[in-house]
Amino acid sequence: MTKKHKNWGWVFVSPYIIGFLVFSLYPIVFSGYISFTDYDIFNPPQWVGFKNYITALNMADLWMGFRNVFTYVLILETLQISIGCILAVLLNHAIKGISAFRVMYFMPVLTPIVAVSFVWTYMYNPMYGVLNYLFKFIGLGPFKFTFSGLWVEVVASIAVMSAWKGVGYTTIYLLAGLQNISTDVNEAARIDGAGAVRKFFNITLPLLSPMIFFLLMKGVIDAMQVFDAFYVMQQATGANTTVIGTLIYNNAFEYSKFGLASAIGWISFIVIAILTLIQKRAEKRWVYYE
Amino acid sequence: MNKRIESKRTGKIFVVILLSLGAIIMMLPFLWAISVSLQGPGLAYVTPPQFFKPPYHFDNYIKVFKEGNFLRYAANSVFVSVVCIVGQLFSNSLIGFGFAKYNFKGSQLLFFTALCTMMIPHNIMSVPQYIMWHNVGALDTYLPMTVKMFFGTAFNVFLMRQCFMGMPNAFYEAALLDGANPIKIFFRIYLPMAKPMLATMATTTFMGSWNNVFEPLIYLTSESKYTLSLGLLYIKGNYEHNIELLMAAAIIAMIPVVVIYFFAQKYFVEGLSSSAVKG
Repeated sequence: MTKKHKNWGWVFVSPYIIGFLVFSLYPIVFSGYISFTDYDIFNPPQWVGFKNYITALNMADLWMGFRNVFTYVLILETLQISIGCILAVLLNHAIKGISAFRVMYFMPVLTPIVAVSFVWTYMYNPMYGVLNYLFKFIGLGPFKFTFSGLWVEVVASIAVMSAWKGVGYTTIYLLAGLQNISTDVNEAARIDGAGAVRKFFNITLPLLSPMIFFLLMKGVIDAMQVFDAFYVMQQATGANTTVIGTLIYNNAFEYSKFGLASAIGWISFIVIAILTLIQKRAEKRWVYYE
Repeated sequence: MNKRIESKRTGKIFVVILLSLGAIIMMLPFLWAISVSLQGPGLAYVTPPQFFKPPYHFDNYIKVFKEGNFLRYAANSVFVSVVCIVGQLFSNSLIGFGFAKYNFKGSQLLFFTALCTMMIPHNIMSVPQYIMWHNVGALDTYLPMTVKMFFGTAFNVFLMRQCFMGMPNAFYEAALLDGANPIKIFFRIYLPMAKPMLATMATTTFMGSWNNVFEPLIYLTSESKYTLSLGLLYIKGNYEHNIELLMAAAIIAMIPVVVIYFFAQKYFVEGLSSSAVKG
């Protein structure tokens, strides 16, 4: 843009600079510092070295938390990506009323998690919930879902709810990716006599792989930090269904152990960073770039 | 050739059937909640479950509004959401414009920091931010949820920058010759052209704020200040034996977001998908 006005750029971005310093940089540095201290917010922080990290790594709840969160991420991402791909392909057809379908699939994304959790908890109820009633017709169950004493059943039930809530979001991105695939490729495949299923696996999926990769990276980072879904869906059943998000919440805002909570936060950050790097390394094995 | 058209038609019918089946599964929780919310007391615990069986008790919805501070929670949520929307529209458009149209020294580096902040886990940020608001004595106010909205958020800065970069620079030069200053150029010429993106941003901000439960949970302690999501958690216990009222409350909380999305839908999908492809 004009040379004369170059410095106006600073004026326009100044809110961002202030916001970055106050709401991003300072909190990160401060969080790093207090993770090495005992800090209850009312008394000044006491330097304790690596004590919080050692305490955290010796907590059974931390490892249970990682176990639960990994299981959750695995189930959630498998469901979301696979169903999302199928839905995107189906929704990519030029059919009358297709936009009504798009709205319906997107609806769960919009609705507040607390309201949604009321409905799902009621549907999951082993005594009078509608799901066990419906499952009986196809010869499944009965399940106890989130009311189960088995951690796997609880985590899987919450993951299924989250997948229902989030699949519309994944689908919209995949749909955008599909619409970028040129029609020539599909036309060429048709002339070569490829059927719908073959076309899906040999053409659509490879061309969609960069978008799937993006969604998988973002999805894993988000799901590793899950808090809301577990906080609102958990029942007191005796199963250990701690996740890292609720562990940090409890230590910070229930027990006022802000140093320990920060240490757990940084440990989870390292785990997320490692997972992201692994995914990035695996990228060239399956992601196809034109 | 005829054969091909025919197979295409059966293909389409097949797609519609699959999509309808999927839609029923997706809508089932909503339909179920509406059905139960219209039932009389006690019927929610009956087996087999009743589905839209008359008589319908529409007064369940009125009961919810009368119960406790429900209306107050809703009003609080509206207030917080409106402030957040104003803050986000104002700050992100200014910042995005700055990054898009001025190539000042360090702008690349600064924009890179914006992208980096998107990757910081909010699990790490919530604790120090809470301490910060505690230290300035702003706990139990709406400040922690709203103030930062006036300083831009990384993803929306990114969207606005993309949006302004797509607009020709020639308007800027022309306006300069007419003697306009940059502030005027921004507000009079470029901002009106960004309306679709602003609509998208207003919708996503509204959704984020209306559905936010973590921040109200840690920051708000007075019951009269609760937002709707937090209020719902609070009154949940009162309805332990009146599931139909709990469902009515849940439906009421869902309606505003669905209605707003319905009106903004056109812009919304556009904005989301354009950012997704380039992102």
